Formats: sequence, structure tokens, C-alpha cells
Amino acid sequence: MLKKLILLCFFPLLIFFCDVPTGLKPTQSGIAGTVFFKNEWPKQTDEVMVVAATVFPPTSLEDIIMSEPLDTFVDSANYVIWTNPEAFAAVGVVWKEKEQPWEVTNIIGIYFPTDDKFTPGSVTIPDRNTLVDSINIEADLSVARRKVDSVIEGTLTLTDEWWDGAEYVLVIAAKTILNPGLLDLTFGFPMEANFDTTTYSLPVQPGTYVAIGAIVTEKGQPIGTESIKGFYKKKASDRLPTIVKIPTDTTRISNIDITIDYDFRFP
Amino acid sequence: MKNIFYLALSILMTFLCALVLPVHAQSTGALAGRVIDSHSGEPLPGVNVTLSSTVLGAATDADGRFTIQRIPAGIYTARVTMIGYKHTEQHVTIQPNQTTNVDIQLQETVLETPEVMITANKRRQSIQESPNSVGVLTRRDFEQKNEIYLDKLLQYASGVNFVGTQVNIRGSSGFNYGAGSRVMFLIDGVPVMPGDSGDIKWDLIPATQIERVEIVKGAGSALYGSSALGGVINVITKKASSRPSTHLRVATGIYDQPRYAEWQWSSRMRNFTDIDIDHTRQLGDKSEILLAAGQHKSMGYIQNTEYLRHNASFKWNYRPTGTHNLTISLNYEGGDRETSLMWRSQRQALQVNPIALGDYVESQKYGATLFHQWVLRKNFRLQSRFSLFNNYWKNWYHDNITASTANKPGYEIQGDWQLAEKNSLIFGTEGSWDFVNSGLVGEHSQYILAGFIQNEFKVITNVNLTLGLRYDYQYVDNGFNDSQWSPKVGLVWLAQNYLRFRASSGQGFRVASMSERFPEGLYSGLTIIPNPFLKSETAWSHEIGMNINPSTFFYLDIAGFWNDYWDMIEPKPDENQVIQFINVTRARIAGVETMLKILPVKNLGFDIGYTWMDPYDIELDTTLAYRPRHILTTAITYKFKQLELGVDFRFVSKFERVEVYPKDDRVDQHVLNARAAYSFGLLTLGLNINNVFNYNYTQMERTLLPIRHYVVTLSSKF
Repeated sequence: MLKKLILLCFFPLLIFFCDVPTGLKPTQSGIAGTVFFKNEWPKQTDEVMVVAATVFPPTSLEDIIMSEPLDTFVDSANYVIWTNPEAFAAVGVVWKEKEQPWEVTNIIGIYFPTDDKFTPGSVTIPDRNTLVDSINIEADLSVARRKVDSVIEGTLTLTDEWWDGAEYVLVIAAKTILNPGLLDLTFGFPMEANFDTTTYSLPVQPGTYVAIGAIVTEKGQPIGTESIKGFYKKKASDRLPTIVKIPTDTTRISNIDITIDYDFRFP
Repeated sequence: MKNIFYLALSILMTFLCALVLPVHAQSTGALAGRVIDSHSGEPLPGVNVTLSSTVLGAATDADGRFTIQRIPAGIYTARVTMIGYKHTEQHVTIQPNQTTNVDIQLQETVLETPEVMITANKRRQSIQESPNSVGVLTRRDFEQKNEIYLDKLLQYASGVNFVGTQVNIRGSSGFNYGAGSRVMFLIDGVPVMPGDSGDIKWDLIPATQIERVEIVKGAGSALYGSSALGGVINVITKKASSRPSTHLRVATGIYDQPRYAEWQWSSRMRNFTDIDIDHTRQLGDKSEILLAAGQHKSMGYIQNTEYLRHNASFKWNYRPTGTHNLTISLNYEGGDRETSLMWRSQRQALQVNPIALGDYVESQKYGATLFHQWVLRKNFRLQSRFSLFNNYWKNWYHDNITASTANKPGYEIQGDWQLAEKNSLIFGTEGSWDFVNSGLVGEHSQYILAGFIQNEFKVITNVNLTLGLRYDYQYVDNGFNDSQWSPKVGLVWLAQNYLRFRASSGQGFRVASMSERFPEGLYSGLTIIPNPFLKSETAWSHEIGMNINPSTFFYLDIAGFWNDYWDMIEPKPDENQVIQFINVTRARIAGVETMLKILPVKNLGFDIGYTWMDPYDIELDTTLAYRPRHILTTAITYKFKQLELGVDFRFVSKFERVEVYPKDDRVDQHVLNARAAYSFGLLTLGLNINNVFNYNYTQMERTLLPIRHYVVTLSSKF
């Protein structure tokens, strides 16, 4: 009897006295800060979250980690994103409209550590015990994009060949070109940089857009004004981009064709 | 439509004819006897005695006695079976107007598996005659592990693992939340997967109502049709018995505190209670009934996972003559269950996002089956089955409410023809209709009609060959139609009395569920669009295996398998993050599976199951998502008089690839459970400590599996 009991207990005891693994543990590292909201909260606000993206702009859900929904209709809200050590290219605030899907491009705020409002600040979590705090973000509720049927559409054409490192192409619509920030731009979804000619369709809010252009992201490089590689111009000889007006939320403007040129420089 | 009407009419007529055909007046006799334990000489109650070529049978009473009346005169084989004992057969001669008496001795088995009779090939045969790998869990396993949830017990079957509620046999399914299963689920041979989601509803039947679970591994569409892509799980429920018997089981338990202070979220002790009762008895001299009911409730160890569920079953068995048997079964399961899709964060792993507090689902499931067996000749029987499965749910997800009702009527008519002693032919037709009205997919219907044939015969001495073929035709209300031929070939070679080899190849397929074909709308903030012309996914399974059973103390089974998959249906986001289910993945899963049962000393048993597989996504040239490479299960059981002690250990290697949250931490699964049971008189008291080391792990991302919990069970059979 004793022998059998010892034999029976042998296996669990063996496991017990070995280094018994504990499995998953609570995350101790992450990103924290405060979001300061400016301008009026849109009535159609459903949720607002802070999103950390390993690449900017994010091209899939795998590139991002989201916080819990923040308090809405408040002046400021604290947030924490608990996550493992990683380098994030950008941390931003995303707005979601009621009864509409999440769009990670519906950004109302981005963490900028300097006065350069075109280059998002990167955040690195060095180890599993560090909570990187004070990543404060100003969110502008006036740039929240509600669902509209108004679009700008056209073609994108490459003049020469894709250059090394070219990764994604994003169509942008800008309301200003004088020292523009990322929040002054409406972004389209990233398209892989592997076409000679392709069509695009960019949903935009009603308003006046002083430039419709194309940004080409390069692998491992942050976005800057030098990433802009073409504007829509009515005549090829025009030096400045052509203004496009969207009077209503059902306006559809076609033939806004853009040429992508590696040698293009932002004026 | 006209054709369908005539087909349905002819099926119904066949069934009615079978019931009302005049029974020829025959001279009958009776068989009576007593069954005792060969070692102790004690009478054995609850032993099943059945007669070949008839639908007649009986169970022994408390004194081990049985009587079978109204047997047409002739020579029969009496088959005597009981869980825990070696089955035996005895030839008996029934004389007109006389009672033939027999005394039968049963020898207790220490290893149950080689003795189990299965119906995996749609006919009753020994597990060792099957050309496919078949795993079996019996009532004794459920009682021994003191478990009432089928999905939890299946995790201890060789080659089986779970991702959330999705079962994988040899890595077949992966994870496809609530949208189709690559494993066919049957209750008493009836498919019970609802037409909307096509997934498995594990809570439909509590384990206390289960007699046996058969797990057929590899593609099995040649007999079972759609969804039998990776395997088949067939649950055989308890039969109504002529011996009056009542079984009461009350279990209660508590969850321990989480291992880490950060995960503590409730100051209350989280508890759960399960109460199940069933009663069976004879009703008149030609029928038996079984009634069962249960209540299951839990506060949950995760925030917002409380539930209160009820179930009820009714089974009536009627034998008007020795050649007709009619069984009517009704099952109900329903209640409310709070839902938690994922944790708040790994920092708050047992809490949900505040916005998800209050999410819950209300659901009801009904199943009804009419089953008729008709022995037309000594070597030919006809079985007809008509069934209806209804699944209703209403889901409160944040501020959205979605509801769905799915009805699945079905039929099967099967002929079972014993052409010679080692030559059996089964053939038949099967059909099912799906009518779905759902907030997820709209109002849709589809049907599948099929015909199948399978012949098992002796090729040379000790070598049996199985050839099977099934044709399925599917029609969806949007005009989409598809058809599949599913062939199968199998070989069993009895090289020695203790050594058997087997080999098989078979095709499988799965038609897209409604929730893959027609989903439309916003779910969890993501847009999903339909793909009305989604093709069926297909698979070929190949297997070779052997089992060695040289003594009653040693059983070893080894199998090598190679499964190829085409057009696997997966949800894929496009560049706008709009999700659509498409035929995308070409995959191959090859591996080796072993099962060893040994008894090194008397009353001490070891069960070890190990599966190694290489799940390869050919399309992406990488590992298939949500599949482990290693699965190890072990069980040690020691019995001393009325005391039984045991430990169960399960190891599943971490998934090398997941799709939804690939950046999350992933770990291997190591779970150790301990159990003790003590029987005194009619009562058995059990104590279980599950997840002894309070190990923390996930299967589906962001859902922590149960932390350590303690269960006390009191059960009684009287």
C-alpha cells in the first residue's frame, strides 16, 4: 500500500519539486499620460482610444495596441496602455463615430515631443518593469472625421521606378500647406508601393483643400514633409497645387490625378 | 422543389410502413439468467444483455438477474457488456413457449479501451476492428475525473486540444470564433451543429447523460458528410433501462484567489454549483423511459461570466416486437450567460473592459429525434432517423442586441446488411435543411442531400478491407450549389492476437456556415461583408497505425498521420480593414500520435497520450496559426478498496503563431489536476483540485483559463 502511494505521489511531487512554471504574469510595463481635448465634442462621439503603433502610419491591426476607451465629453483624461517592451513609432488618439467601424486613420491627436507637428514622437518601452509616463497628447476634436459620402478620387501614376525602401503610398488632403501638421491632413488607407498606375478614393469632410497629394513612406524612416512625392495640379506647368472644394457631404470630385515623382520636393 | 417534396414523402412512407407493417405471428420464448463477477462471484447489476439480429435486450437488476421476453424461436448470440468488464458472447437457443436459462460470468478488465464497442463506422464493432484511429471516453472516465462538462473532459483525450470553445483533432480547426467547426459533432448519430454558426454547442447535454464519447480522427466525410474534415465526435447518451435506477449528483466548488495581487478583482468567494438527476424505469412490458434534469450555475472566476443554465432530457424506448424498436428523444438546454470576449489588459487579466460589463447572451436549444430500427431479416436491418434541432440566442454586446434562430430538420435512412460473417455492407441516404433568421446573417436557408455506401470485408485471412463512398449535394437559397464525392479506403490486419496494423485514407469537406457566407455589419468595431459564393473547404487524411495488447496490463497504440487541406476558409481583412471570409489557406498537418495504458502493479494505472505534429501553412510558408506542436496527457489512478486517488496532467506547447494579437505573451499549457473519491454504500464523495499549481495560460488570446479551483461532489445511484 505504502509503495503504491509513494509511486502515485511520485509524478506530481517530481513536477512540484522541479521549477514549477507559473505561466502568464501581469504586465508591469506600458505607456501612460494624459489626453487634453480641445474644441467641442461631436455629438456623434462613440469612443475615443489611445493607440500606439509600431509603424506609422499603421497598415494593419497587428501594428497597433489600443488603450481602453477614454472618458468622453471631458476636458482631459488619463490613459495607460499596458504592453510589453517594444518601440512604438507613434502614439495617437483615435476617434470613433457612433454606429461606424473603427478607423485607425481617424486620428484627432498625436504625441509630438517637439514643435515639429509633422513627425510623430517615438516611444520606447525599455524593459518589462518600466511604465513610460508623461506621454501627453493634445487632441483636436474639430478634426474628427464623421462618416460622409463625399470623396475625392482619381489615379496615382509613377513617373519612373520605385526606389529602394519605398513601402506604402497614402493619399492626403491638406487644408493648409503653410507649415502643415499631420492633423491638418486627411489620410487615405496605405497602398503598397508596387504599382505603375492605380486608382484611389479618399473620403473627405466638406471644406476647401489647398492640396491633394501623395505621401510615400520608406521602410524604417519617419514621415516628414520630404515624404510628400506629388501634388494634384490642374496643369503640369503649375508650381502650386490646385485647390479642391467639397461643398457638401455628398460631393464626389473625380479625375484628381497625381503623379508620384522621387525627385519631387515640397515647395 | 417538387423533387424534394417527393423525396420527403417517400422517406416518411418508408418510416410509416416500418411501423405499421403487420408483424407475423411467431412462436416465441424467453431468455433469463444471472450475471456475476467471475472473480468475486458477486451479482452484477446494470449489465447490458442484447440479442443479435433483434432489437431485444435487457439490463440486470440488483441481483444480477435479467429476462428478455417475446423472442422468436431460433438460435442467437447473446452479447453481454458492462463498462469495466470484458465483454462476452454466448450462443443461446430459444424454444417456443419456453424460458432458456443462462448463467454468465464477466471478467473485470483493468484496461478498458481494447474492450470498447464503438459505432464510429455507423455499425457496432470492436474499437480494434476500425481502420481509423478512434479515441473513446466512457462513463467511467467522466465519473473518475468527476467532470460534467464534455469539452473539459475531451481535453484529456489523445490528440485533442481546444482553442476557446473550438475543438481541434490533430490540429484540424485552429480558431475561427463562432463560425464553423472542422470537427463534426453528433449526439447519438444526429448532427447537432446549428445552421447559423455551424459550431459546437458543448452545453447541450451534460456529461451525466453520456454513456460514451467516440472520437474518430481524420477526415470522415465518406460516412458523415460536411464538417467531418478533421474528425468526428459522436456522443452516445445513456439508454433507457428496464431496471429502475436513479442517479443524483450534486457538486459545488470555489475558485481560489488569483496568483497575482494585480489580478484580484472581487472580494467575494467565486463559487459554482451543479445539480443533476436522472431516473430510468420500465413502462409497461414493452417500453422504458429515462428522465433527466439539471441546473448549473457559476459566479465565474472572470468578471462578467456568471451563468445559470438548465437542462432536461426525455427518452422513451418502445419495442412492439422483437424486430422493431422505436426511440423518441427530447433534449432542452437554456438559460443566461454573461459574456467576456477578452480581458481588460494583461495587467487586469480577470477583468473585462468596463464597456463590456453587462454583456450577456440568452439562449435555448431543443433537440428532438425519432429513431426506428427494423430487423427485416437475420442479416439485414433498416434504421430510420428523423431529427429537429433548434438553436435560439439573443446577444447583448455593449449597446447592440442581436438575435438568431436556426432550425435544422434532418433525416437518415440506413441499411445494414451482413452479407457474410466477415462481410458487412451499409448504405443509406441522409439529408438536412438549415433555416436561419439572424441579425448577423439575415434570413437564409440551405439543404444538403447525400447518399453513402460502405463495405467491410475479409480479403485474406486476418485482413479486412473497408471501401466507402459518399456523395453530398448542397444548395443555398442564393442559387449557390456545390457537390462533393468523398471516398474512403481502410485496411486492418490482425498479425497476431495481440498485434494489429491499420491503414486508411479518406476525404473530408466542410461547407461554409451561414455566418461565414452571409455575415454583414459591424462587429467589435470592424466591418464584415458577405461572400455568398464561398466554396467548401476539403481535406485528405492518410494514416497508418498499430496497436499492441499482449496482456491485460499493457496497451499501446501508435499512429502516423498526414492531413492535407485545401481552400480553408479564413476571415481576412482587406486594405481597408474590411473583413470577409474567403477560401485562402492550403495547409498540411503531419504527425505521430501514441497512446499507452499500463498497470505496473495491481490497482495502479497509467495512461499516457502524446501527439507531435507539424502544422504547416503552405500558402504562407509558415506554421499554421493556433496549432500546438506537442500535446501530452497523462493520468495516474490508484484504487484501494473504496478509495480512488488520481492525478491528471496536460501539456500543450504554445502556439507558434496566432492571428488576432500576435504581440501578446504566449506560454505552454501545463495543467495538473488531483482527484480523490470514496464510496460508501450508495454514496460516493469526491474531491477535486483542478489546476493545482494555479498556472496561468490562455488558449484563445486574452482569455485566462480557469485558475485553481476546488470541487466537492456527492453522488448516489439507487
